[in-house]
Amino acid sequence: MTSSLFLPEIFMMIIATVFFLFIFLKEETVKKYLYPCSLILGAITMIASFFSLSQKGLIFFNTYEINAFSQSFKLILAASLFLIVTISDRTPSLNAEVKPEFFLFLSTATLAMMMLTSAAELITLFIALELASTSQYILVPLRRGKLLNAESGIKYLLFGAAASALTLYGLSFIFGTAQTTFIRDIATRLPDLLHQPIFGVGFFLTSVGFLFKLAAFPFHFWAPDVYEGAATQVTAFIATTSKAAAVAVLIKLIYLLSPSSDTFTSVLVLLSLLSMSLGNLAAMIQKDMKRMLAYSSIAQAGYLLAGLLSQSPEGYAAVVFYIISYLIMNFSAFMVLARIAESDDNPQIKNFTGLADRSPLLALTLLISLLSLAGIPPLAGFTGKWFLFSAAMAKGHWLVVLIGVINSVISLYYYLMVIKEAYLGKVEGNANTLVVDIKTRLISYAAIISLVIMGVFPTPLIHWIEGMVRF
Amino acid sequence: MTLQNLIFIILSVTTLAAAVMAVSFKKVIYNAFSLMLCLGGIAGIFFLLSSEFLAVMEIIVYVGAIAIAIIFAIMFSPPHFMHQPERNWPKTVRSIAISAFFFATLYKVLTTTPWGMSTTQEADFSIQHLGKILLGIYTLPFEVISIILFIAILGALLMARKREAHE
Amino acid sequence: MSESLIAYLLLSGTLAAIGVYGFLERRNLIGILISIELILNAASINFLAFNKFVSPDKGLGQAIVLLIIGLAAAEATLALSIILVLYRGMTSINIEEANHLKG
Repeated sequence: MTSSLFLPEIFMMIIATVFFLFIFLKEETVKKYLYPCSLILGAITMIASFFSLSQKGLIFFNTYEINAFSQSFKLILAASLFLIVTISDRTPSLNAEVKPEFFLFLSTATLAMMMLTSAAELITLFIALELASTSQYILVPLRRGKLLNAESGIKYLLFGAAASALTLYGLSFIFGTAQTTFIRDIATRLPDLLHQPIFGVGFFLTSVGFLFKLAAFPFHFWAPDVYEGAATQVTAFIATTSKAAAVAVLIKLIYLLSPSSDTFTSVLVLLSLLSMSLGNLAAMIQKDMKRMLAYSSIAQAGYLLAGLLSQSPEGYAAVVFYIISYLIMNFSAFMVLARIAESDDNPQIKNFTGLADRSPLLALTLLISLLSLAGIPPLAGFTGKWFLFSAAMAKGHWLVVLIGVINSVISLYYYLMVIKEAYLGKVEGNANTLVVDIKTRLISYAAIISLVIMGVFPTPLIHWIEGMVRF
Repeated sequence: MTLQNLIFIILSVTTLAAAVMAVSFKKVIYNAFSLMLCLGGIAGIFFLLSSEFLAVMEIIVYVGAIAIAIIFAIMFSPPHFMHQPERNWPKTVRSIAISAFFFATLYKVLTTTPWGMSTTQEADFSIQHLGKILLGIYTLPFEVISIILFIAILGALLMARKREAHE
Repeated sequence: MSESLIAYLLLSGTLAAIGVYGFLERRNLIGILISIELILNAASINFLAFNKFVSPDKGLGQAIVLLIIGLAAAEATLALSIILVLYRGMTSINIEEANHLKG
């Protein structure tokens, strides 16, 4: 039965259709039912992805490959969509009337990302990437009010379109030299192809699009503007879910094609070093919390590239482990942000003053997630970085490890600035306590506990990951 | 020089000249008209490459829809957006240098690559065959393109609503 | 010349280089969109040239180019609608000068 292989995607399509139908309903109805409905649908997709974890097969004339790797990533993507949906009940910067569209584009983007993880053919992969990008191009300027958002939207769109045009140009050379677009066929011909410089040019241009999605240097410039201009929920989606999808594609391409040439590795080393250094240095001077997180995510992309350049099973497993912990810690930081944002939705660092008095739980969540992002033991971020750097070390990339460790120390500075505001800052006048509802409480506890557990007992998870990163 | 070669040379000169005009004219509307000419030349190139159907599609979709949409957008935009701003010469020089480097690299690599030619004799360029491929191995991309077009139209409508809210 | 692959590849390479130049100079939003269309068309020419001279299956390249044309239409629609929103609300729309967001 082939349709069961397509189960998570079918559920995503159903969800998208339901949200589309919501557009036509009356505003009161939407207000009442949309959020509960999206929670239920998100949970169902997660369950569907969970039950299709062990599926295996090829569909759509072998262009679509279902295996442990793709199914696990689909579960990760479905889970992160569900998390984004949970914090989307109160969206101060989105008009109520665009709420169904917001959910619709979130679900089409996630659908496309699920397809990305399974695509076994370059054109399928590219078109899925375009669906994901197009949905995000609309999500960014969806925010109400200021033209600023339309401006960051058009910047994102035009740079993204240029990156994908170059990707296509590169794909044409791959098509011309390999005479096929199936990744596995290209892999079998790779020894011959690597002698042809034009294949290298094609491969390089093709990577442009994916590096753009990952916001790695030199394609990072869009991230700060887009993060600042978009609504918090959209920013959280772009920072977490879309990054996970980009990582899945990069692992798949590098694993299958494994171009273990020295030039390729040294390009990755350079990109990794520049991403983490520039990201961290720029993050230090930011006042806007979302911009700070944007620059920190550029730095995180650099750490992920450090794991990828080892091109070893340990390295890939480390990258997947790190992206899972990155999802949790970044999501919980954004959740605190979304709770703090009251009207304008762009919290500055000074807005965090006295958070510990206003809501101890949110302050604790922020503390744990930022410390984990900085890589403080015994949290998940530390363990993940440990795996990444030891995989890079095993291949002798000690320079990357050294700069990576120095960067972690630098990043501690700006994370601690926020934490200092939250814990030591005193609110002038009477501090109004933040009301934290039961759902937020549950998510906070879950995030804190999972970050600690992943940091202290990573072995079961890393075993599961090592079993799944296999093609 | 055969007739085909002559046509090729005329078409490529037209295309490239139009492309240069499309990025250099000061009035945006001229840029758009040059783009139309350039796309027409490209359709001719497609014809020379034995893809008649694609040549027709290029005319219908690109010239007939995309270029026309661009021209409409220019006509709807306020007057001061109809001109390109003054050239910033250092930036122009830098852009030319980067694109010249891009082309030089491509040129060097392209001319040194030994291209394997296909040996198949009975080439099937027909629309029937194209249709079979489109609904064969490209079923999924074909369906996904339809979703992309759908959400792009929905997104454009949303933006229009946003514009009304401004006014 | 019309029967040699390299002539077509050089043609598309020049077209792509012109597109890259127009994009980098980015003086006007619609101008940038036009440059992107040029790069996309260069990719289309490449696909069809490889399709004719190299690929054993003469339908593959054509199908890919058909998909590219569809994509370009979607992207242009969306870009133009956002550009119009901006144009209506702003007095000057140069992507560099009227920059509210610093990169």
